[in-house]
Amino acid sequence: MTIQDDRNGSSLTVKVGGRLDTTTAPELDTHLASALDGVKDLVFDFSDLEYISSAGLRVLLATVKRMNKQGTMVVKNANEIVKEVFDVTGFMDILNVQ
Amino acid sequence: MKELKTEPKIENMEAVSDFVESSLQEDNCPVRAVMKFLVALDEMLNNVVSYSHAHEVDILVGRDGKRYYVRLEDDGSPFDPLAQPEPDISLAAEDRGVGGLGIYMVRKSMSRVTYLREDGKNKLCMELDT
Repeated sequence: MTIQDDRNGSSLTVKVGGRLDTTTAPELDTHLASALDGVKDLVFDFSDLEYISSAGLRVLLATVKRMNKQGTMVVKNANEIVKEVFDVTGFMDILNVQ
Repeated sequence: MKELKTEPKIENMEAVSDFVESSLQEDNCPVRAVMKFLVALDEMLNNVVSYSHAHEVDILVGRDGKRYYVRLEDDGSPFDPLAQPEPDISLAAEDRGVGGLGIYMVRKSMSRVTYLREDGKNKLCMELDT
């Protein structure tokens, strides 16, 4: 998995690539814990994300709960496999997927 | 059919995932189906790693015509993932937990999932028709 931050004032784009699963999700969780301080507009760019498992969904759920308190969160460029996972799990209704 | 036996440990999960991916690819499994299997594998293998107390897990990958399968057999405590209650996926983010979501996803994304307790082993078979 790769994580790349693009910060512009209180806006942050986090580009996640590879596999977001049991093995890699804790790393993203740790990264976000400090990266989200002071962020008002968060964008996840998933253009290079191959797939997401429930361990990844767990991180997204915790993040959307946090961002609901401090700003907005958008998910962009998810592939069909990832979107299908969002669909099946009801995450399509929880996340702002663009 | 290809087979890999390993210790169910978190540090072995990536190797198992790579094994399943390459085995399916060698069998000409469509990319989309490979991805679905890898997500399902992550969920189910994580259950074995985290809760089963198994000493060994056997991973079997193969195809029968257009039907592909990934089977997990472990010598851990009896656990039927198909007997777990389904999560409420209609709740708002604030009220959502993620318990049971993994198993639910696997059931929704596979064509068939079967569980059998036999010879002191949990035998889980995940199948996709392509």
